[in-house]
Amino acid sequence: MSDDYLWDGSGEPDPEIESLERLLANYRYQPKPVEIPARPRRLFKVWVVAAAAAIVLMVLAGVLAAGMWSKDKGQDDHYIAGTENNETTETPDNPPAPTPEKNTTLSVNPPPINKLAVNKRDGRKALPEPAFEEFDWDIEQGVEESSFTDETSFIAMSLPPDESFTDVETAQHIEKAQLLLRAFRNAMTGGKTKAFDIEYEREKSRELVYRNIVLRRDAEARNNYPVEELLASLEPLLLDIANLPASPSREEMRSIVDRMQKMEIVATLQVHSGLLAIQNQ
Amino acid sequence: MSNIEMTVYSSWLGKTEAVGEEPATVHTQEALLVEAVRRGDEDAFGKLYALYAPMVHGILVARVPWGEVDDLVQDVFMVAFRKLSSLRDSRAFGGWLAMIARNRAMDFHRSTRKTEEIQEDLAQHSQYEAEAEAAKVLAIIRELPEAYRETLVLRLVEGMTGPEIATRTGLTPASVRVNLHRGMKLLREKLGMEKGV
Repeated sequence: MSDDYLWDGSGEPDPEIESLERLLANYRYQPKPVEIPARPRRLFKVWVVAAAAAIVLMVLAGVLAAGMWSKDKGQDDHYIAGTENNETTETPDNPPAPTPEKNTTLSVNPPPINKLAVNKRDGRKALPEPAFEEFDWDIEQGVEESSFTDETSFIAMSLPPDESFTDVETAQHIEKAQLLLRAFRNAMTGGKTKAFDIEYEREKSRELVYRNIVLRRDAEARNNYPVEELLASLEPLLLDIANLPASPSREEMRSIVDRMQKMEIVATLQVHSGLLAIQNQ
Repeated sequence: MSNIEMTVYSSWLGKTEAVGEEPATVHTQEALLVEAVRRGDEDAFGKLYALYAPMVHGILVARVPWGEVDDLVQDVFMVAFRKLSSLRDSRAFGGWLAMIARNRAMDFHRSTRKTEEIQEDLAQHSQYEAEAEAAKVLAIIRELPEAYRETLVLRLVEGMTGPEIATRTGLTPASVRVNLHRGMKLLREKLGMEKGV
């Protein structure tokens, strides 16, 4: 008999399912009027206070910035005035102090500190590029020279590293899932008995599967396709582990481990975790 | 998995892809309702309640004693209403709400005990035979693994179809289909055992 009736009620009705539906109909939800909780009006006051505080802070910041600007300007004016004084007060009785260099503007307008740092690093005299471009290059090199296995680095190259991670929550979830799948795989390879105790892995998997759904939908909403795809492929594995009996047989575990290996899911999760670690450096 | 089972499973997955296309517009409408609730539209909250109450009810029926379900449904929607600002993607409302319902059921079990005894009472002291039978079947469904029992309750008790369950809970249609198939198989086995005894 086809399972279409179980799926969407179409096709030939299954008498057993029909009788179960009739039997359990008493438990079905009966529409009731909704009790909408009153919105706290305090929220409005909080917003007003927050907006007022933000305006005060902005005004204070403006005043402070204006003060600093006028102070800097005063220092520059003072320096220029001093230079002019040196030039104007030069008399045979009062000779100017000897200066080591003629060009005094070097000490007045020193080059920005970050440019100096770049000059020291690569020895070039003038570099208009900001310092972080070199830093990015270091990161990319780091990916290629990291300690990933051949398998994982192949997968890493196939993933866009810049867009895969935008939030730490997803990354932590991926790391947890990776640890769970490793533990599950080890439980399979470690034991020689016919049945295995995977109570911990089942519990963990149940926790992760619901989180996985929410994060997958979130990634979908943000058009983060690599993460969405990864979480979508992870979901059935988590479900299957969660639904295993308390002491599954070797065959039941083998089927899941085989799928994990075929999908290379552990390696893919490891690559994502690795890329995040690099991104957070 | 035998060849026959594999063929059935593949044909199922082939169908789920077609089914999976459907909920896009549904999601958009629900996302609009969520946005409206965020703006303070109480009618929109009423509509969301009407759409999702059966799902929340089903999730709770699968986990907590029958007498507590109605109160907990209200609780879940109260929490959802208060925390709606923390939901980042309006389209994920169903999955988010389902998670609140599951967490609320877990909180209930942490704070109370002897829920199993209540179920036993329900089964033993029901006045009518049909009610006693229904309570017994529900108790058996509740013994199934979590994913199966939730999906089966939504299908058999709440009368939702597989595609509806997928749309509301945020699970993929393929996962729902597998859960329904395997859950029903387990339930049949257990019911067979019961009848045998």
